[in-house]
Amino acid sequence: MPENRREQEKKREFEELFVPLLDNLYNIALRMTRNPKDAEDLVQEAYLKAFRFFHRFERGTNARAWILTILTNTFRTKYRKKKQEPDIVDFQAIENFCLADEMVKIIRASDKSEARGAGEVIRLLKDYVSDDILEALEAVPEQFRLAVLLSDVEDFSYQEIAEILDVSVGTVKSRIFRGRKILQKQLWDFAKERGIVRDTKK
Amino acid sequence: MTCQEAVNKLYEYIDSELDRATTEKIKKHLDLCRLCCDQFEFEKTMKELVHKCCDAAKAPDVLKEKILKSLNP
Repeated sequence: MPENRREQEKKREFEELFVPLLDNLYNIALRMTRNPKDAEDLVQEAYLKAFRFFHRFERGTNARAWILTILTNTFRTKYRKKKQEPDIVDFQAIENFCLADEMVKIIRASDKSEARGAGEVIRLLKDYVSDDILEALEAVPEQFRLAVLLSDVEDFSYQEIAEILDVSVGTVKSRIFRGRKILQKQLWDFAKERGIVRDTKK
Repeated sequence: MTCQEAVNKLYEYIDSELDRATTEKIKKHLDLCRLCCDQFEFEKTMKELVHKCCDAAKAPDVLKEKILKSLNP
């Protein structure tokens, strides 16, 4: 039957476009919900919605951006209230924070030689393990975290992120800036808490 | 280009958001300025680290099955 065949064709096309994106969406959902169970539910719901609204997808446009928009909107309406979000951040305190500068200070304070430089700072940065970075990301409030993830993990342009989050490019820019600063400040706080580094300001 | 001008565009630079002319200007500045070069390198590394650690999980097989099943009831 033609109707049946059209339905089959639609499913095949949908699967071809979106099933290969599953790992990618799951990773982002994990970082959004911060919990595997919710991430699974979120991804499943996004796929169902995407399939239901597949007729609205314009062929030839970016499928990843399209389904990520659905995922983001689903997350925002359904899951954002569930888990306590981190406290509102004091932006003035973080605006000028620079993790690299803090690291340079430590290296200078501890190293007798004059060897400072990027190599050493980047080595310190790479001492952080994935879990540190993931934990620090969790402390970044949602709106900033999303913008950073869409840029750093998904490699979307500011314009694409603006469309996904339905905000202006200027807002995207400022959210990415602040999100990265908060992330770095958090990483720095971890390092101090764990005694990995000495606080040179004391 | 001054250091301040370069640093103001740091994130746009590492996110490939700048036009070619501005990108070239920053590249030139980075060739000459060790301090800025270090800072740009640091931020680039940070971005790469975030990418790496947020890209490592694999969706559970059962999730894939559930999704495929819901498309083919």
